[in-house]
Amino acid sequence: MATERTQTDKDFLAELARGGFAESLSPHQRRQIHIETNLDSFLRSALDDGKQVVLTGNPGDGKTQHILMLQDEYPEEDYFYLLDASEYADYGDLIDEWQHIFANDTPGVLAINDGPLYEMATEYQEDYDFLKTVQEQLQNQIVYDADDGDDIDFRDLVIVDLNNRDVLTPSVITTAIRKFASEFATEGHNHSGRCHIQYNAEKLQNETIQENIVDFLTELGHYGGHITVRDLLNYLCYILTAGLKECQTSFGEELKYYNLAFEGQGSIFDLARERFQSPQLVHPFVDSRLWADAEQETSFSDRDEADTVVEPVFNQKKRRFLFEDALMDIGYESRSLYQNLEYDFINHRNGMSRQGNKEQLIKLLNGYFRPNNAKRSELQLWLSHSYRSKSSLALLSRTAIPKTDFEIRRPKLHPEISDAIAYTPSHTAFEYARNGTPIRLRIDRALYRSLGAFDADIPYTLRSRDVEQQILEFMEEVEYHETYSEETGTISVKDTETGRVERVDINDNIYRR
Amino acid sequence: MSLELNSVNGDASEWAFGFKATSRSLKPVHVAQVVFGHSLGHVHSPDLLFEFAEKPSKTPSEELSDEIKDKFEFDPREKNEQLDQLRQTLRKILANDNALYASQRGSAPTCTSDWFLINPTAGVTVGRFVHHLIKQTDSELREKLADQLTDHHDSISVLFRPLVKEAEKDTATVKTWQGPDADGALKEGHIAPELVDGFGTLSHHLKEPTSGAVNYPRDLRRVIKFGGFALYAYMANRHNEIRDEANQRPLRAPLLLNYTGGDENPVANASGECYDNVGTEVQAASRLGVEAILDTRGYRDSTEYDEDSIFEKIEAQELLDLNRNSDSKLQEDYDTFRYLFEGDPADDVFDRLVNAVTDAIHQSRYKTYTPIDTIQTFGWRSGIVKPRGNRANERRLAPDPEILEAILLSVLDPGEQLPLQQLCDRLRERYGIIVGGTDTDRAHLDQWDISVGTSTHESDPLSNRNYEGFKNAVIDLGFAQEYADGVTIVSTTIQ
Repeated sequence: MATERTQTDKDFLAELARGGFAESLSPHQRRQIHIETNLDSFLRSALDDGKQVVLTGNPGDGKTQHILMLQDEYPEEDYFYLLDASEYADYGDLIDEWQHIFANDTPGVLAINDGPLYEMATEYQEDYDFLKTVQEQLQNQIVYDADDGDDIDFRDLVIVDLNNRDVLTPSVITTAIRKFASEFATEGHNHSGRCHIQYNAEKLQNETIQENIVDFLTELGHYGGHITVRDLLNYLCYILTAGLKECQTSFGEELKYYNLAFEGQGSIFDLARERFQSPQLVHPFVDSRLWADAEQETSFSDRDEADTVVEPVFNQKKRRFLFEDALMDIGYESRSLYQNLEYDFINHRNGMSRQGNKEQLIKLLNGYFRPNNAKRSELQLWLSHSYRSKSSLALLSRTAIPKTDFEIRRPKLHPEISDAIAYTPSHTAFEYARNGTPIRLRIDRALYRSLGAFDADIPYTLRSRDVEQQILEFMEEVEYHETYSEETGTISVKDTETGRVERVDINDNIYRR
Repeated sequence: MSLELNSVNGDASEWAFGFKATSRSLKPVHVAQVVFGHSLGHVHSPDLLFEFAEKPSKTPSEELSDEIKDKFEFDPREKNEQLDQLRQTLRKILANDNALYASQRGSAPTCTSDWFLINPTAGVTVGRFVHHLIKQTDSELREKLADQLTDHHDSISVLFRPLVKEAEKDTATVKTWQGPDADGALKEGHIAPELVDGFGTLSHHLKEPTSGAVNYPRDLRRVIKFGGFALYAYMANRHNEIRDEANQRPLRAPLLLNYTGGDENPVANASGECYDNVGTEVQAASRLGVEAILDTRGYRDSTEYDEDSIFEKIEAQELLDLNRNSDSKLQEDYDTFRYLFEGDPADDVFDRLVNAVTDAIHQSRYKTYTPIDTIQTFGWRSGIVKPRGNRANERRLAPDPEILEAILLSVLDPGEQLPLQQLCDRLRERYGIIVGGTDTDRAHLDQWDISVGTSTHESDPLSNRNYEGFKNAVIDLGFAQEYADGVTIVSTTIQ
């Protein structure tokens, strides 16, 4: 649905809150909602250098938005723009046109969703050389080593995959809040008194609350999942307006931003409901104080009614505390609620202590198989082998690889595009690279959490076989690249039913213990 | 001459499939033993290993031969106790495939190298069939298997080395698979040539030796996993390949894989129907085999086997060769057979006899183990169908990730990239595998009179939930990546 300029800004805001991001926003409206980031300067610089840039990603990533923002400064007569690849019924026609433009050295920006772009690159690269470059760049947006992908040609063509863009950064969130809360929400109110939009806008202009919203959203961003610019704008517009154009001058808790922050539809709301409601965020002192206040407020007396009477009020107070901690005089900051989150993984991912990190990970991996005997200096490799469809009765190990043969690699953007977008990796790679091609075990949040649980001595028989499979496949691959004696060795055998480990030396055709 | 049902059953299986799929104990490791033994042309007789692997409760360590005991330098004061304990644990490695029996007959240890290959008694003709498919490929699969099997750097080989290294090495009994009498199994258009191609493509993904060693047992598993699937798909399609041309269906027997995550929905039900259909088709192939065998043995001769004379032979208890000691049981067996013969609706007497014998073979009272029993049991043992055990009426086609991996590696060339829908087309056309990614899935199922019902609470669960489930399984294996606009690209290099 097109949003006309005749709308007031707050009406426009309400449209956006209800998902009114059609591609048909007027140029003025596009300029209004645009949030300036590094990508804008990156694109200008690329066009100045005569390059073509392909913006790829998912719907809502802001590809079209960026093109429309450039067109005034870089007019269509001199630059090539592709707003929507789907208008071409046949990719062949598009690629022909693109190749023609590319051969003429015409700079420009093309917005192509990653699915069609991969399809084109897969299907047509034999016939069009430049598509090989496209594919190489697509496959090397993220690299693990400074040298990875350094032979790829970025001179005339640059692909930027906005799937990797971290939108929930403090600067983007702060800019967006300021833009919407102060520029949009405060105009067009022809009523007496104060409506819910004015109330929420005032609150969001409060510096402390703003900081807390930034903390809240950046913490949510740690949980991964792709968040688009459209998701963020949709979220902020909703917590300001609840999607209502009509101003509600008489309103209750349900229209206040801290409740709306958990009630809308979209990726960020889903993440907030999944991760940041009780009991995910627990703090003994804050919770007991808020619960006592809720009991007092509801004149609570019957314990059987605690769920229905007290808990809703408690939840509202807790939601408010997340953003208005300074105003509620609880004695704690809302940040203290985030302390129970999975900082182990975040610290690991961020490489807070590089060497200790690797050793800690080796200890966790060893701990999966031998919880009480987990070394940090070497990784013991285990083998599971059977032809039938059932997990093994016994695992074997004969090899330990020193820690020096492993590295923890942190994914980062290819240097050629690292200035374009902010990137927060969702994983690290535990890499073995002694002989040729690196072998990597992807350490993401789920695997790290599982390993942490194993360290806490969860019985072996209760563990997830999927996790074990991932680890064993990595170990089998590493073992293939190692060279050993076939005559001697010390072999450990783990009975998977009892957990007992037998160890025996074989040398000169004799067994010793 | 009277009819011995087990013999007719076995001969009928040979005629239709080219092997005796009549073994209750057939396990993937038996197939592995035969395939590997045939690839190398030699086997071992690791008597010490089998003696060592006896359960200590049956043969205590103190009764082990000195030749074994001398190989263990343990504290003499508690040597036997320590040995008992060690044997118990180490036995589990060899018995990981649940085919290490108290008697060596039919027993098969797991194997990561030729030291563990024995002259097997179980699954010989079935394994020979799988080996024949491998032999037909233009690839280096046999060489790669040989490299892997003659390498002894893996931990299982090193662990048992003192017990197997000196074991007697014999020439394996390697015979060429003769194929079924019904027709040439590898004829163009049949599924077997596709399976040969599958092994060829799989071969390209297997490791090469590095620095002289190739210690990667996972490749051995991949070959046997695909071999298990090949056996299942071949038997499922056999009836359609050998029946009257006029009645043949142009498309492969459908194998609808259930990736819905549930067992009470239209896709799961249709997957169950596909599983049942495999059983029906295998039984029908078996029936054609019975017909051919009875014909060969002269039962079509109406002068000797008209209706009256058959009844007379039943009354005289001469028609069947039944191994019963009790007269009453024998009489019950004949009564049952007479009911089957009397009640069969066919017009032709010979057809009635064929039907009655086929039905009798498939009745539990005659204690024959049929190709259906074999393929159904083998199906869950090798990880193609779920659940395990005897809950036959609840089974669905739902492969383990390891089987799926082998199947995918059999249709994807190294480095090849293609959209997931094209992969689905390929799987359907080559193997009859249906997951919901193509426009022709329903037409394919319709041709086999299998329909996916409707759901009251979700739209097209085959193309949506099941396809999504399959997509996620391929992504989890590291063979695919999902992009915007419903595009998923499959490639073995994404790993």
